[in-house]
Amino acid sequence: MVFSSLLFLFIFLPASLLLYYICPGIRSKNIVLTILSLLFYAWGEPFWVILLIISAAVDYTNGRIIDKFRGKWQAKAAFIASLVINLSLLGVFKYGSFIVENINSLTGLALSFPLLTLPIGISFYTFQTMSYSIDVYRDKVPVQKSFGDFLLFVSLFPQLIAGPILRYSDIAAQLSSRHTTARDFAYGTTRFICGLGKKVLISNYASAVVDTVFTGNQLSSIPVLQMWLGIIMYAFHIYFDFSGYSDMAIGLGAMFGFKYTENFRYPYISGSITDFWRRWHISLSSFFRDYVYIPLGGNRRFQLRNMFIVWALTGLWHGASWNFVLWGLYFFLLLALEKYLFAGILRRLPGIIKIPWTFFLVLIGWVFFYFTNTADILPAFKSLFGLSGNLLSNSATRLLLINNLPLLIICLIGATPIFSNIAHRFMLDFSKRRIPGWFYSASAITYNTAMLFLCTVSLIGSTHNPFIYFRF
Amino acid sequence: MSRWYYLIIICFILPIFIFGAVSVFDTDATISISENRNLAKMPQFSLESLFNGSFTSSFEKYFSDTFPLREKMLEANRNLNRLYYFTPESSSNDLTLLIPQTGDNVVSGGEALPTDPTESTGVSHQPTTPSDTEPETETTAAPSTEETLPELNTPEDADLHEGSIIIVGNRAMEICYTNQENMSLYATTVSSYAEALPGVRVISLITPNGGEFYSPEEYHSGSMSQKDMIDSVYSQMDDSVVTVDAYSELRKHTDRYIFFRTDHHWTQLGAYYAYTAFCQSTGLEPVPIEDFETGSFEGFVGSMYTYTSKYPQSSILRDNPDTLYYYVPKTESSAVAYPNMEMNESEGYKVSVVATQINSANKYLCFLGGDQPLIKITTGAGTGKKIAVVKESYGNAFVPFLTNHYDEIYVIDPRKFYGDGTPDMDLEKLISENEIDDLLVIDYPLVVSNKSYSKMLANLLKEK
Repeated sequence: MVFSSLLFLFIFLPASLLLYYICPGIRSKNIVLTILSLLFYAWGEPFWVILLIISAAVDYTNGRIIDKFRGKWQAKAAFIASLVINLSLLGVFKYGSFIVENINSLTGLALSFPLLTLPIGISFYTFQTMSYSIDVYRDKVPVQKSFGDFLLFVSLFPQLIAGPILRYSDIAAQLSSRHTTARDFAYGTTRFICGLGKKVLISNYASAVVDTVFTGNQLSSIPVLQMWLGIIMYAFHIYFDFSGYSDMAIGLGAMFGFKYTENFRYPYISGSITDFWRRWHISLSSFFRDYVYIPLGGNRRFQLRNMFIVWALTGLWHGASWNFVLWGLYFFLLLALEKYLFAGILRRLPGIIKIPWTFFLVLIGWVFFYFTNTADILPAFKSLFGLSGNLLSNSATRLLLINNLPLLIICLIGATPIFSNIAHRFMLDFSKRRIPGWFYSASAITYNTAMLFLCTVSLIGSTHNPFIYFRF
Repeated sequence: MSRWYYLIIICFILPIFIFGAVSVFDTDATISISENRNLAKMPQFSLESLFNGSFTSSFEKYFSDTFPLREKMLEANRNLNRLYYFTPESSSNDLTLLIPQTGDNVVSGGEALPTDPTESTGVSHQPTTPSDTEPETETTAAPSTEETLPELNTPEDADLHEGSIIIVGNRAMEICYTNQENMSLYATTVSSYAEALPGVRVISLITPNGGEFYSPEEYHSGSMSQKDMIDSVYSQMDDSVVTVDAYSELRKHTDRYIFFRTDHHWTQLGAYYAYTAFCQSTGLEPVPIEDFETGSFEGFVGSMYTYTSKYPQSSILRDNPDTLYYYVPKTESSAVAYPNMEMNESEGYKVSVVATQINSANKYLCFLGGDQPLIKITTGAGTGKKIAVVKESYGNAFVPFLTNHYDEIYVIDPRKFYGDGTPDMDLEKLISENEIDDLLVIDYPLVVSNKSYSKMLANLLKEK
C-alpha cells in the first residue's frame, strides 16, 4: 500500500489509529502495530512479505548470537553471516539479473536468471537489519531480546517502503517505551498532510509533465526548452515525491509516538554539491558514511578510493542499472573536484551564484538518473544543449510551458524553506504564548483540512500516481 | 494549552473516520455520467489474483470509483486542473491540451463508454467486459519484471504510452507515435495470415485517424506521420497481401465530416471513403453514397471527451457534441453475435448491422452493436462470396458497406480472444469450415503501433 492512496487515507489510517489507541499497554500496542505493518506491506507484496519476516528473523538471531558469544569466533561468524545473507538477498532479488546480463555480455555466455520481482522496500529494510547486526557486533547498541519488538523495528509501516532508513540506535528506546503527547500527534498530522500534499499536489503533476515531455518523442527531436522543462520537472518530481514520503513517514511516526530523524533539508537551496548531499536523503548518505566510508579508512587513508567506492555503491543502490552507477560517479567527480580544487572559490561566491550553479549541476545529474537506458544519455545531453539539430521550441513546448507555469512557481517556492520557517515560527510563538491558542489551532486545522480536501480531490481524479521507489 | 492540540487532532481524525465509514457502505454507484464510463466493480477474490497483485490494484480502483461524493469531487478536480493545466483565454484554434494516451485506452477502444441497460437495440445483450480486465491480461502475459507490477508508470514501460491526446480548438485527436519494431511486428503478423491461409485473399486496410489531417504540422510529420507509417507497414507485408490505400481517399475528403471531433473513431462517411478504396483494390463496384438511406443521432460526445474529461480544456468538447450520420445497408441482412467460435444457436443474439435507434450515450455502438467477439452477418447480396473481417472498433462502421458484396460476413474482434478466461479462436478453422474467400484486416494507427494488439492478432492463428 502507499500513503498517497484513498484506501490508506480513509481506511487503513483511521483503522490503525483506532486499533492502536484502544490497546492499553505498550506490549499490545506493539503487537497491533506489527500486524498492521505486515498487512500494509502484504497489500502490495502479498508473497514477499515472507522475505521481510525472514530477514528480520535472521538478524534477530544473529544479534542474539553476537551478544551471547561476544568476543568469540561464533560472534564473528554470526556477524559475517548477517552481512552475507543481507547482501545476498539484495544480490539475488535486486541485482541478480543485472549481474547475469553483464556476465553474459562480457563473456558471450547465455546464462539465464529466473525473473524475480524486486520486493518493495527491500533495499530499505535489508539496510536497517544489517546496520543493526553491525552495531550489535561493534557493541554500539544493546541487543534486542524480543523478536516482536525487533520485527516492529524492521516492519514499522511509516518508513517501510520508502524510508527514511532507520538506525536501530535511534529507535531502540522507543520500541519499549514511548509517550505520544497531544503536541506530537498534532504536529504529526500537519507533517503528514504536508508530505501528502507534496506527493499528490506537486510530485504527481510534475511527473505527468515529465512523461508528456519525454515519452513517445524521439529524444533528438525534442526542442531544447522542452528538454529543460522535462528535466527540471523531473528534479521537482523526485524531490517532492521523496521528501513528501519522508514527511509522511515522520508525521505518521509522530502519530504513533515515534521520532524519526529528518531525511531532507531543502536540498535545492544547497550552495555546493557537498552541501547538497548533506541535505538529500540524509539517512542513506549517513548510512554509507558510517558503514562503508569510515570502515574503509574515511579521509585518513585512500580518501579518493573510498569516495569512489561509496559513490559507485550509492548510485547502484538506486537501481540495478549502469545509469545509476554513472549518476553516483558523476557526484564522486563533483565532490572530489569541490574538495581538492574549488572549496575556497565556492566559499567566497555569493549564494545568488552558488545556489543556481549547484542546482544546475544537480539537474545534469538527474539526466543520468532519469534515462535508465544508458544509450539515451548522450542523445539527451545533445538535445538539452541544442546539438542534435532540434528546435529551440515548438507549439507543444509553448503549450507545456504555459500549462505548467503555475506548477513551476509552486515547485520553486515549495523547494525553499519559506513555508516551513513560517510554520516553525508559528509553533514557537504559540508555545511561548505569543499568539492565542484558538488562532494557532484554527490555522493548523484550516491548513490540514484544505490540504486533505485537495489531495482527496486530486487522488479521485488522478490519472497519475506513480511509485518511484520500486527500483530501490 | 494541550486542548488546542486536541482540537487539531480531532479535526484531522473526524473527516477521515467519517469518509472512511461512509465509503465502506456507500458502494452502489455503477456508472459515471460525467466521465462517460462504467465504474469499476468489486473484483473477484482468488488466491491467484491476490498473489499476482491484480486483486489489490482492482480493489483500490473499485474503492476510488465508489468513493462518497465522487461526482462532486471530480467536479472539484476539474476546477483544480485549471491550475495544473493552466490555459489563459485563447483563440479557438489554439492547441490547448496535450496529455499522454495510454496503450490500455487504445486497446480497449471505446469500451470505456457505458452502455445503457435499458436500450433496445440489441446492445443490451453485450457481455459486460470491464475494460480494466485488458491491462491485467496484458500484465500477466508480459515477460519482464517491471511489467508484472501493476499501476506503476515508469519511463521503461515503453508499451504504456502509445501516443498523446491533443485538443485543438473544439477537436480532440489521438496522436500516434510510431515504433519501427511494433510496426514490423504488425506487418509480419498480417503476412503470417496470408501464409497460413493459402487460397484466401488477405487484404490489409490501415486507416489514418483524424490526427493525421487536423493536427498542427508537428503532430503528423516525422515520427508521427501516419502516411509514412502506413506506407512502411504495407511495404513490409508479404506480396500476396492486398493493401488498401484508404489514406488517399480520406485525404481527398478532409473537408467533409469524416472524423468525429469528440470521439476517436471515424464517421461512417469516413468509413465509406475507405470502402471505395477497398473496392478499387479488390475489384468491386462501390455503391454510390447517394443510394443509401441515412439518418442521424444528435448529441454524441465520445471517447475523446472521456479520456480528457478531467481537464478543464475538454469542456469545449462536451459543449460541442458530434452528430453521427449512419447509412443503412441496401441489402437485407441479419447479424448474430456469438461469444465464441462455436457459434451455438443458443448463445447467439441478434445485433443490428446499423441500428436506427439507440439510447446509449455512445452512439458509435449503433454499428454492429459495438465490439462483439464474433458476429456472423448473412446478407441477400447473392454474390456467392464470403469474407472474414478481423477488426478493432474502426471496422464497425466499415463492415455495413460490405453487405452489398458478400453473402456472409464473419466479424472477429481479436481483443476478445486474448488473455486468460477468453474463448479460443482458430482463424484457419473458421475460414476453412465456412469456405471463406477473403480475409480483411482493418485497423487504425494506434493499434498498428501497439505491440499487445499485434500479439492479439497473432493469437488468432493456432500453431499446428
